Amino acid sequence: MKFQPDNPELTAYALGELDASETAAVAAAVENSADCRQAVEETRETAGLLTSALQTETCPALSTAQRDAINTSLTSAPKAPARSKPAPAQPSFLAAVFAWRPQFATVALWATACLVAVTGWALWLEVFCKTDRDRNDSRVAVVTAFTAPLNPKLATPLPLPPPPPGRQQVVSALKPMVVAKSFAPRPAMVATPLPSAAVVTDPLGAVVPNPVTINGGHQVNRLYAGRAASFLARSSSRKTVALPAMRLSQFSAGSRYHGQSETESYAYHADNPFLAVAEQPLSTFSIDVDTASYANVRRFLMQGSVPPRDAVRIEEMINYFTYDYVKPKGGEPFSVNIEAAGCPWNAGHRLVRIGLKGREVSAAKRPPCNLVFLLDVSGSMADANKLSLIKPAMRMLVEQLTENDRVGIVVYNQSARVVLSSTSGDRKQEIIDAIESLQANGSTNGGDGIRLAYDMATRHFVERGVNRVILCTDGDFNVGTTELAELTRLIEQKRQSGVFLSVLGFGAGNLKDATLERLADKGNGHYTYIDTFFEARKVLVEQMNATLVTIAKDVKIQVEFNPAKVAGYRLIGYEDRLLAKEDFNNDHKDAGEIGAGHTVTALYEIVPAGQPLPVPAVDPLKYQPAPKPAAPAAGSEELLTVKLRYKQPDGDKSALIEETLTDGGKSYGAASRDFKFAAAVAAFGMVLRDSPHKGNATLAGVLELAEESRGPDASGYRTEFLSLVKKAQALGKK
Amino acid sequence: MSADCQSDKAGWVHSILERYEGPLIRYAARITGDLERARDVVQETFLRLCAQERGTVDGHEAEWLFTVCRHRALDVQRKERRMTSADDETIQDCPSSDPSPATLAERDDDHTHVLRALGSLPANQQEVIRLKFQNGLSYEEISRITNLSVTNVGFLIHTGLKGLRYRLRAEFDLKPKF
Repeated sequence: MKFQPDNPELTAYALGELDASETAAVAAAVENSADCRQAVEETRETAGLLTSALQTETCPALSTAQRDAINTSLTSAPKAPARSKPAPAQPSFLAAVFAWRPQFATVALWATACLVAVTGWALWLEVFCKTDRDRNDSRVAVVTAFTAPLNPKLATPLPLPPPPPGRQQVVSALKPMVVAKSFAPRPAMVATPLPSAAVVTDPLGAVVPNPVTINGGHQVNRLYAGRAASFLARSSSRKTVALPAMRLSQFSAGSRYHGQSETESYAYHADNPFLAVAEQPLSTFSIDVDTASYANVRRFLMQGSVPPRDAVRIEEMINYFTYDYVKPKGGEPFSVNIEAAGCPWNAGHRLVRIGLKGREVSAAKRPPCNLVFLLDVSGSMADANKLSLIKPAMRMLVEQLTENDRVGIVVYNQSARVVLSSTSGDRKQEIIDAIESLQANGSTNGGDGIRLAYDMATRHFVERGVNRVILCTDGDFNVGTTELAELTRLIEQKRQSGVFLSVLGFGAGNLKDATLERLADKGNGHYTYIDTFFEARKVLVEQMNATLVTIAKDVKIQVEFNPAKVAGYRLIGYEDRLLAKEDFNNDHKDAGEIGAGHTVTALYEIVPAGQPLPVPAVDPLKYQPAPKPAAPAAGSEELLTVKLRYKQPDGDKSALIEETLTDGGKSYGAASRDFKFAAAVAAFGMVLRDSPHKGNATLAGVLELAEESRGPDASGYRTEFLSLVKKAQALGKK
Repeated sequence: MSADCQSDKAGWVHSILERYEGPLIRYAARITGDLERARDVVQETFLRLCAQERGTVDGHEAEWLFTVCRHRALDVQRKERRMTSADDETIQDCPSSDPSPATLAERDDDHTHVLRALGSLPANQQEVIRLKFQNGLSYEEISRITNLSVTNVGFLIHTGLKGLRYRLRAEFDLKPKF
């Protein structure tokens, strides 16, 4: 077959419109004709140009009234001829609504807002449940009750079916019920029943667990949920009832913690306890390169309040700083740096530092990036230090991009939309114009935004490049359409396809810290808190490669202690990153990622063999002999072995690195500068958390340690740390 | 209809609304030449969708929406007797579509040239080109939306692209780089 270059079939071929056999025929013809080849090439070129030019045409939206009309038509009884299907019996509806999905019980950790509105009045209960996987810890819950008149406009008619006679009272009481978003990383989570006000009885008279998790109900109420939550965010009539266990522990009476953080939420984690090597010789955890906690703690201190203890995650504070570890050699993605010295807050103990340093990637070698910014532009983002901080932050990042990179912008408030379709990084003005045009208003519905952003990232997927959705929000990620658990699944699924998620948290007063951390964790990304312009600069410019380029994923650490040398140990921080020992060799188990040039540091406090463990003694077993400690490996002088598993960013199989440490008995004074500084940061965290394991650490002591180990500090971050310690001192924390 | 069904439907309609609202209004505005009428057309399209059995639309939402939207837009256009086919001037005047020439000038040159060149093509070529390259629809979908044969759609797109190539080459005096 022979083609003239001017043939519609050739165009159809160039655009991929032909079926397989036609394609084969045309391909053969094209192969033999330079003219045809050129025509195909030019057609594709023109098509590409057209596609990108047409994306710049604006997409207008419907007016609010028009949208409302559509919603009304959806919620009113369908006018369509009655279907012949028999209507399902009412109890099945209620059963469906209230069925406690067992999988949610296992998947649900932070059940959150449960909104119940009764006939024009809303009683909103924010249930915040946390449990610790350590059963010895008391379960705690905070219940925040909101009582506020419901704006009639908010009471959008809900598409609940009219109840049959006799069931009226029940259903009407439920009418504007909005569903909790539950989202739950940890098993063994039990939602705490709410106070009686929120308990609902079903028509059969049984008390139903509060609808913290409701099957299917989320869609019924999506619009409402979005509005209600934004109302919640602004509501001034809220009352916070914190149960004693959750209250900021033993902070001095003069503590100024209260106020702005009343709707911020933090997951509760008890400090890791000391463990006996005889019983648990292995310690396993996932690395964590998040730094959000440090910036958040800084925000509290700079504003003159003591951070709530659960906002203090020690590993994130330590990892905020970079340490001068040796660079990885050869093809290894990171180097392992282990050091042991005396423990500054407990004279008899030893401190072991495990430091990882990721391979550096120069700006010139950065793989092409396909970035999609997903921005929360709901009303609450208009506050200072939110959108006004996001804009310069994004501009700074865009300045770094080249023609190899792509940027798109998706925004969400009550709905999600594309503000900038994926655009080449050298069209900076276009990107910056789009950024500048952003305005904050309306309510929050993040679910659709996430979907839209992932859609865009997937469409423009760059093989062997960086494919990342960057979520910028104040964190009240109020998903109307879908429960957070469903979103996590989406994020996890997209992670498999190579699109990762990073989270930048902004603002104060409503920060949903735990949600954001969890999302980033599930999305193979990290969570960073941006409190100032300088922090934005650090994350998006100075450490851009670390933020964007993942060099190893699912990095796990397992430490085996030698019982001949170690009686017990305690991992400082990483409370929410612990893994079971079996997880270490399980390549299906997700863990943390390390970015280019990242440093990750973990500290163990070690009780040397022969010393008593600082834990209460347990009575000897009655029915079986106490397990005999395994005979120590004869003659081994090693203190411990560190094993690391990691995968290449696009790999499925993990590689293993093993290093051993023999403790030379170095005193704290002889330790390296970085070791000392990390210890100072850990001690600061323990004091802020009022950890039971802080030993004799004090703020004055922290100051002394940090001052001595500050070093040249070209970036000024360590100097800033000193000023934060002084702030905390001034706030009366001893 | 059970509550579950209905709520599913609401979620379904909303997800379609989020995705297609803008593209449909943009498309309708090209036909009606007026943004407000385009919005009305799209609102009606979605009201039709609400009354539709999901099963009859599932899997080919875009085709269904653009077909309905096009019919409504053409009805409106006929009723208004504004024109029988969108001519170049109307398209230039269409408030919803192109950024003003001034804004365009500040934007990237390539895009400006391409959109200007596109605006000089006959309306029927523009329409299929927009359906294809702006809305990602296939020849077959476009054929069903516009009631043209697939061959006809292929011919219009081919001719349109050819025209664009010549125009762009003349404007740039060289091949557009991309």
